[in-house]
Amino acid sequence: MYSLLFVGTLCANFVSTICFIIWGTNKKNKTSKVALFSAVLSLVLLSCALIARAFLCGFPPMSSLYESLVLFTWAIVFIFLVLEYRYKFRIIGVFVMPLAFLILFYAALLDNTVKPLIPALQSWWLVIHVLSCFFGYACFACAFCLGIMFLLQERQVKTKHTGKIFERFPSLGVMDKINYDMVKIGFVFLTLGIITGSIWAQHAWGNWWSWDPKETWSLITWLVYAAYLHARFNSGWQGRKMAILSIAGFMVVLFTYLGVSFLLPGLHSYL
Amino acid sequence: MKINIIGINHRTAPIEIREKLAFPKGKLSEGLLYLKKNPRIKESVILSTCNRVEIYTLAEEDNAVPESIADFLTNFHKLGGESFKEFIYRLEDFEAVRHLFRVSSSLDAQVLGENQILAQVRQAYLAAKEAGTVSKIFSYLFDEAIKVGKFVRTETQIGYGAVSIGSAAVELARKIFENLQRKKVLIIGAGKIGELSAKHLWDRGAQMILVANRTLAKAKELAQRFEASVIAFEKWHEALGDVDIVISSVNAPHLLVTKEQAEKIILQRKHRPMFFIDLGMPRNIDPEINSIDNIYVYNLDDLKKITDKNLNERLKEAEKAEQIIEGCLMEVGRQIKRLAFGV
Repeated sequence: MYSLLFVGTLCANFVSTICFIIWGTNKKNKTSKVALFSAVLSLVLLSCALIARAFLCGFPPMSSLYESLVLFTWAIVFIFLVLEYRYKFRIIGVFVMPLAFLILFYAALLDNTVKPLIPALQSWWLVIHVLSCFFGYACFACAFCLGIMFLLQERQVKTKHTGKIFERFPSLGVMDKINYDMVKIGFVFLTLGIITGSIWAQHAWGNWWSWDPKETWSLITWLVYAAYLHARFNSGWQGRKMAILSIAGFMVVLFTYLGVSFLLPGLHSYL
Repeated sequence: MKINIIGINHRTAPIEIREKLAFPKGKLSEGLLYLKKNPRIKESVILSTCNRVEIYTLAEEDNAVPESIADFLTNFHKLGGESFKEFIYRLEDFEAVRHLFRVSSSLDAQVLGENQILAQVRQAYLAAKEAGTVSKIFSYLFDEAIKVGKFVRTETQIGYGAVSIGSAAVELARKIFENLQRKKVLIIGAGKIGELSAKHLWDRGAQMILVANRTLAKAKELAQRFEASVIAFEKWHEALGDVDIVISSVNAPHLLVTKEQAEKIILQRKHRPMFFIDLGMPRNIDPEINSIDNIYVYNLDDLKKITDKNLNERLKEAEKAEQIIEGCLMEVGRQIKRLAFGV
């Protein structure tokens, strides 16, 4: 049942990705509708898959790299659909859906056997911790896509070669604003994630903070986005520099999430 | 039965002539009623816009009919003995139908792909319907023309991209700012193109706040049009930090804004984006300013390049549109014969 739902999600995600890329070049409204529909479908299927797996493990599935990647995909598609609903910002799908598909595809290559957590670690703090972190990461992923789109559009306007991108992408002001919104929301989630993680650590390991590499890098990520918000609040920076910072920020997120797990073993070594 | 078009347009007649022969709203029904009185004319529509005056008729096959309509076109306005024959073209049957379709698809327009003509064709048709001068054949024909016009507009990109300097400037502004509502605009110098650009921005909700011009009277005239305020020409520099869009068209030998000044201004306004539209010849704004983050500078040549490119794109789309029209002409011709002869 679970694998069936997972494969369904992967297919829907793939269709959505392909349709978004096609729509990026052919601008047919119908294509974008199919793309959006498959994105919604993939979110529904993935939600069902996660619930099915939760029953299988007896606990929300968040105990292996594989499960975390699936959760990450879920959060990205969810945030994307919120953006589409809230701002009618469909074109970002051309960047976000391929990213979501790549992550899910990577997950599909990994070992997906169910390894239940030892009961000592099963705590609602863990659930809140993981969910907050991945919502935060998903917001940063969208900010990353917006940053790339901003730079592409800015290049068009600056070099005065107003081509397809110029026509299709929204205004620099809009992308800058949503980039800001995404970082703000992501920052709140990340902060919450770090705090709840710390509480859970106290429960599980008897230590609030142990300078485990994952913890250190989370703090670095947090500082990068804090710097972003500070530059905006205090110096009024906007535009290009912020776009670059949101791209750099996501690189740090990826390192914290994946790099640390592979390169710097510690307590979080599974994810 | 024959479909005839007698008309003049922007290619055959200068604006002074077109103005004289046009049918403004009040005169239109009068003209249609006059045509209705002619027993040899079965159906008629008058299409009168600023680029064309065309009389579409369905009449008996008789050479005297087009002659009499041409006379009607010149005599109706009681312009004395002036002859306008040299400006008038005449099309019939298949050619006439093709022409109508090209008109409604905006292929025959002065600005290729402009979007008002379809509504104008519809209005002309509705006015004729009201006057009782259309019956089944013209109903069918004009319905088709409107359908084809719509189809061309949605299936090709004939109306895409700005093709005038003013609209190109607005299109850029819309890609720079989150929105144009309440954006502050400073107009330095009162040039024709600057005024048009300002009008486009104004239509999109931008706030005209400041006009600076060497001659005060001209500045006041502009200011009135956009509910703006006038500032002394010597003082416009002071306002620079507070405005989002600057339109300059001043004839000055030196640069009005240098890179150094711009760098200061952008810090002063905390990096809020700025858009300079430099319409001056020689240029008023240092083009180097464009390299500063969050400031965008376009001069007349840059804007012209955009409009040229867009016009080229429209020409390509026009070929597709011609094919669409050719594709449906046969069927329309057959249907008209069926309606006319009941076959």
